[in-house]
Amino acid sequence: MNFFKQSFRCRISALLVGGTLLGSADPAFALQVHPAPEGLYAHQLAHLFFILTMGLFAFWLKKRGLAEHPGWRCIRISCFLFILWNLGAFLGHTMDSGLTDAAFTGNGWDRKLLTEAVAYPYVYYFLKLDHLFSVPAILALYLGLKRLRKDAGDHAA
Amino acid sequence: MNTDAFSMAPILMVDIAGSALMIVFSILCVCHAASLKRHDPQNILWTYLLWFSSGLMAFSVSRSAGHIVKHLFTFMGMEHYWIELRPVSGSLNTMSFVLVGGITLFFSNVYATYRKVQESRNALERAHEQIRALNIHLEKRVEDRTKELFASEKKYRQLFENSKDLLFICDEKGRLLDINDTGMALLGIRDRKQVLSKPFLSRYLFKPDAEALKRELMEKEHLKDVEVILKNTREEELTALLSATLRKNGAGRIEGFEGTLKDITQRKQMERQLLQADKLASLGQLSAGVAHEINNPLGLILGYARLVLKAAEPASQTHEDVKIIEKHAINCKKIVEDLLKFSRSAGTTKAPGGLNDLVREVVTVVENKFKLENVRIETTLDPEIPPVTVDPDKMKQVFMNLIMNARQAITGEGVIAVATVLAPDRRSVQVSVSDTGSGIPPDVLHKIFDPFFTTKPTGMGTGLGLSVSYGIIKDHEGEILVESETGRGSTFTILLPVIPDRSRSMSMEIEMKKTAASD
Repeated sequence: MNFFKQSFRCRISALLVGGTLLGSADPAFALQVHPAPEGLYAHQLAHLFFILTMGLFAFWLKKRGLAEHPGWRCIRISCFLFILWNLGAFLGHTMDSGLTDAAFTGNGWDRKLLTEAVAYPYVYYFLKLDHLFSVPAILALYLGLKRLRKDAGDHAA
Repeated sequence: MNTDAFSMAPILMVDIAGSALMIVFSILCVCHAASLKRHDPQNILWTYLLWFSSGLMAFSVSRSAGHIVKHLFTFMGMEHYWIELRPVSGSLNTMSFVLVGGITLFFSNVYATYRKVQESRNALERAHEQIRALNIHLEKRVEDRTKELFASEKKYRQLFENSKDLLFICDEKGRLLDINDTGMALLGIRDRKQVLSKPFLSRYLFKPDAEALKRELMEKEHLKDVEVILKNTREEELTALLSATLRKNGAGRIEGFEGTLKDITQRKQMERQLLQADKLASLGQLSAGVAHEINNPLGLILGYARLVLKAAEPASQTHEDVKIIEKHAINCKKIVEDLLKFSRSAGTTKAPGGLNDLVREVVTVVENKFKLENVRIETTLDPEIPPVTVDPDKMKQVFMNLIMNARQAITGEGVIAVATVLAPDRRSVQVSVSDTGSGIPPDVLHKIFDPFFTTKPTGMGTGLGLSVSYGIIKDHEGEILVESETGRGSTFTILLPVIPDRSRSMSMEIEMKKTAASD
């Protein structure tokens, strides 16, 4: 009997809350609008997600003992470099989002960054050189794969 | 570099070069990962690396191409195009990031499953290997055991078949399951199939009763050396020792029985002969003693009787009475002489000679008389038999005894067959006297050589004929055997040793010298 009483009360409460919300709502569009910042947030979240997965993969390689092998060790190093690159990119994007065209002068090769327009101009400048991390990261991955291929061939032979 | 403004040119150069390198290395990564995948398609790690490299290549191409295009548009003064393209390039970059990250995240779970599958597969392979090894081992063991069983079966089959005793196996109802060759020969069975699955003991056992014997076997579970009489398919009686054991299965249920039958017919016959010989030897000694003791008083009685006869009137009563005394004393003397012959105490004169002549002499004497009585004598004398050492008179007496006995056994018409032949072992000469008379009952057969034993009516015989013959043959180092079947007749067989070749040639020389001297 108690169970039926409680169930009845729940239904009444749900109807009251639902009715209040629907009755008091303003007019709304059918589709939600996605303004400009959403793309940046999605991109930034993707960087964070990539950092997370690279971290997990590096941990997994260690846990499985694969990192002792030279090929896998290179791949693990590549993971760390990718993490660093993503961190840099994340920060770079964050700082980029706070800058306007007024922070720069000139175009093309003559384009310059005005230091007064940036909070940490040296940091920003360094972060813009993100290929200093991404190229070594993919190079380490390439070397690791090359070594694995070589070892697999030797093993098969 | 101006302290108020940093040139973006280095960044631009690094960006362009870096982007190009990213594209090149990402493509090379895909090539190596694909090579690894081709090398071992089953390896999940290589699959992951191929996916990862492919995702990274998509990202690199998307991002780097975007950067290069951006710079190109900027230099060409077409920045508005880049503004149009930028969201697309950025979205592609984001998607490729998420894709690579997703692949990595997904891989760790896939790898866990893969490891489990791999472990199960390895375990299965190990189990398979173990089973294969066990199977090979089992096959080998089965092969070895089969060989052992075959060898064992062959060994026991040989033992069964080569046994000189009758071996048999019966089921629980006494039906024959198997019998060896010796058994078949002994029982006169020609085809094994004809007797298999048919009652065995009740068919061939003559004495004692087969059912009683089976009951005893069921009670005791085994029989040992039970003397039985068998009757084979040729209706010959065989004495055998039966040993049998009951056969039960694991649950204690009787499955049948198996056993042996040892033929002791010849041994029993030998035992009977030995017993007979022993008995006759004892009787011979006794007879000799008695005969010697009686001989002297008899001589005195006969001597005095003859003195009284000379003194008495020929026609007087005294003369007649003493004549009767003399007659009976002579009879007694004859009996005593026969006893001495039986006991082999009487002297003999032996010389090498042919038996055929002696047989002919005896046959000639009785032939005509027997012919009148419708009894025919058939003689089959082997002219090739070698000479033997005999006392001719005594040997003729033996032949006469046997022929007269044969005649007396025949009522009405009949045939007496006398034959001489060299024994198969060529060490003795056989003389056989057969008749078609009444035969000798089995219960008295063992007594016929006893002194004074006779089946003839009182007054018809002294019972010393065969005893004397036995004594004479023994004195010649020979044997006298008898076979008889009631209602069909008897056969007496005398075996006399042949003179060895060397002795024979010496005897021949002596004979020739004697002949030359007499000439």
